[in-house]
Amino acid sequence: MIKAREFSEFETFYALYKPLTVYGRAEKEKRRFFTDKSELENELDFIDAIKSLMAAKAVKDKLRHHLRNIPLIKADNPIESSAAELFLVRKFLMNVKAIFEMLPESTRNIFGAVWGSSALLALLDKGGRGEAFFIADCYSERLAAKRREILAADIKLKSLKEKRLREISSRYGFDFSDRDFLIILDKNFASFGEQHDLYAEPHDFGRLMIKPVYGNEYLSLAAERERLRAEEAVLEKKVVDQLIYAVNADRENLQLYIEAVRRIDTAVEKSRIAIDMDMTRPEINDSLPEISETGNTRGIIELKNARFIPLEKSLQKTELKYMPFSASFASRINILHGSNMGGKTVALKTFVFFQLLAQSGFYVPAEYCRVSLFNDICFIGGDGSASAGGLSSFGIEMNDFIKACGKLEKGPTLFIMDEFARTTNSEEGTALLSAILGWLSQRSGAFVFLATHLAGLEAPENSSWFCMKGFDRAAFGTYFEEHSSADLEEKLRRINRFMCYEMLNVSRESESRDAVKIAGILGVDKEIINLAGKIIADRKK
Amino acid sequence: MGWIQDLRGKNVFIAGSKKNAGKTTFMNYAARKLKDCRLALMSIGIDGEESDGIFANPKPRIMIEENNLFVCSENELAASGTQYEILKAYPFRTALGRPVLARALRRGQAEISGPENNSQLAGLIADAREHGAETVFVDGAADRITHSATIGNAVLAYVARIEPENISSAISSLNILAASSECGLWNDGEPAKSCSIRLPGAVTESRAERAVSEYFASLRKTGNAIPGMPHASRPALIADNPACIFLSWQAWRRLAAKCDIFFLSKTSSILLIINLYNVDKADFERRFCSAGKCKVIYNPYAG
Repeated sequence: MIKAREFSEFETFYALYKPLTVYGRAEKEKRRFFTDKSELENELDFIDAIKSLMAAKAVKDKLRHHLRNIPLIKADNPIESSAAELFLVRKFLMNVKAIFEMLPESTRNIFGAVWGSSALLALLDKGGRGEAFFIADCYSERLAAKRREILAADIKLKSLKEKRLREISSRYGFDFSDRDFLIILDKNFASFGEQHDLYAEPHDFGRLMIKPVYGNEYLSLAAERERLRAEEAVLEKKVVDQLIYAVNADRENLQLYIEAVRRIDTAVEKSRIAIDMDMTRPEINDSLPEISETGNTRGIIELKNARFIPLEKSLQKTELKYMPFSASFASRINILHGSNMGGKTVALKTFVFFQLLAQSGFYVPAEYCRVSLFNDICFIGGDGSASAGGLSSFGIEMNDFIKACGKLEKGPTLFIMDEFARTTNSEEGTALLSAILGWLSQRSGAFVFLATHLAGLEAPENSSWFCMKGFDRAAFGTYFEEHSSADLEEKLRRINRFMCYEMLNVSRESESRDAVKIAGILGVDKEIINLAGKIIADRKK
Repeated sequence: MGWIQDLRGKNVFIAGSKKNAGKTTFMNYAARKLKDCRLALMSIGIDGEESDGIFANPKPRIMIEENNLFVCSENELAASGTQYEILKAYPFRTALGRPVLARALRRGQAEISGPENNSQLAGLIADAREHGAETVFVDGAADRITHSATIGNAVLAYVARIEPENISSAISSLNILAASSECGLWNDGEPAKSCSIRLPGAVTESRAERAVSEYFASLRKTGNAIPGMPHASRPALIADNPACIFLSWQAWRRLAAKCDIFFLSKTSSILLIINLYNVDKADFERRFCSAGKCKVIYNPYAG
């Protein structure tokens, strides 16, 4: 599956999928691949339910705001007793409630968004101010009384301190009103003679650090204040324990909210993508259709005006026009052949991209799309220069193929093969590929999509052949004569302009030889191009 | 005292020349002087505890005034002397536990702490500002000056404890800090205006010498150190930020004689808080080359 995701550039798209809550992000990381139709339809129903709400910008923004504000709470185990946890639970509940209230009842039912924590939230709100939370006096009369004692002690301490600082200021001229200590010269301190309201300690040679001495009454009261604060902390802890007890009693609800938030968050984000990218809901086949020897009229996969988003986005940066792709596949063995640069690989990528989108529970960028569900998608192929663990490109392909065959036991498997055996000689490559296609055609769970330009393939009778329409030779001929020199980008633009990226269902392997012409456009010497043309003509004779 | 008022509205990062240099003492001092301004106090590491965990030296306590904000771990919060309200609890944890941004509902002492990396720190500062903090103090670990270079609207308050025992090394560090304040900022996105030597990470004497030698060797061989670039007799040496400089003052001067030193980021405003212990100010000034663009404050606690 990883190679299929890489091949189809699915991860480029997946990076645009950004759930707003920690629960949604965890769900994203699971990279779910739905193989059960009812589960997948449920997931798509979630998008349907949210998509209509998201059309109103104010609703969309408010929904996203509350989702973004939902903090992480862990309700699978009893929540630890701390004020910070109470803050988080309250913030969680406030935002969950706001989200639930925004949804119509029918939508709430779809997501299992049933609110049942009004009493708990009201209890926590007693310590709430906006999003902030504090252990309010109203939770405990004893706590309130203790705080009144502390306040009285603070007032008295402040008064004693200010009185002493005024005395020191008038007696010695030192201002301690906004500092705890002063550094002064030894000799200055000595000039004051014996005194009892300043504490001095050596700072360095010749200087002293002096601090006010506040007196016994102040010290006794400060100690008393410390004792009161310790008692306050005990009472605060009791309140926190009681509140956490109430939170844990409602833990079952919290778990349900987490699940609902996860579903709503992923649906909101999938809806946003669906709206932004003009996507539609894919249809899902009930089961893989019966495949007759001659194919089936009801497609395993059908795409109408499908847009391969990664390519569409990259072409938007250039002047090249993106051509949407339409195709219907009804056989288990599908062979796609055609010109170099004719779009075979892009067609294959588009198909895998759509299959991954649909089975990951997304809407799809197409006018119409119907897919069947596979147990796995296996990409077989390298980029020609790849090597891993000492294996050549050919070795990697064989290794991929063996692994994919192993998956057949578990259920229907998609085999995606791009230019299989391209790195070996064409005679052996064709023979091996013909044998593999024959072997796979006898395994009912194997569904093959092969792009190749190898000629002379012996494919099973029940296979379907497709070709990319390729070059519009007549139109190009006139144009090329008039514009024979250009830079590479212009040449690519020309190829794009005259290439028909259209997939045709053909009876068998058909003639498609544009490689020499394309080499000419890209700048290969005219003499070589003419010679190649002559060699082809001679061989035909 | 105008320099204290200049800290209003800023993110003040406090670094020190050594452990127990007086960073927290300075923060307490500055916070008291700015008592009419809503402050947020946080730390890289832990501050405000009774003694430091390494040398067990007594440490200054931090007093949080009513309405000021502070960051501490949730455990420290319960043990603080303040009454508080929680404004934000962070999803990450440090060695001390989960950091919490709180507002003091009553004056009291607290241990402050904070995050462990720059991106988390930037988030905390932004949250403190969102909740009304006008001036943010970040009490840093010894010699940790990186943070101030990467966060905007920053002032670095570098607290130096100068004693006869450390005067040479302390002045060497101060000289480099002062010299680096005069170095230019290099805009990494723009094409090089002259030949340059990029030295990412730590700039040590051996790395810097090797890079400069290679540059001049290449210049001798090809006439141009970088193909297509004009010849420059004084190349630009580009380091990440002043915290990456691990050179003695002598080594810095040798390097500065050969090339112009630039940084990708640095604090535009630096205060050098010089606390002299058994060192005469005139002696210190004779050894301290130049303050560069730094502002020097001597013994701020003197009566």
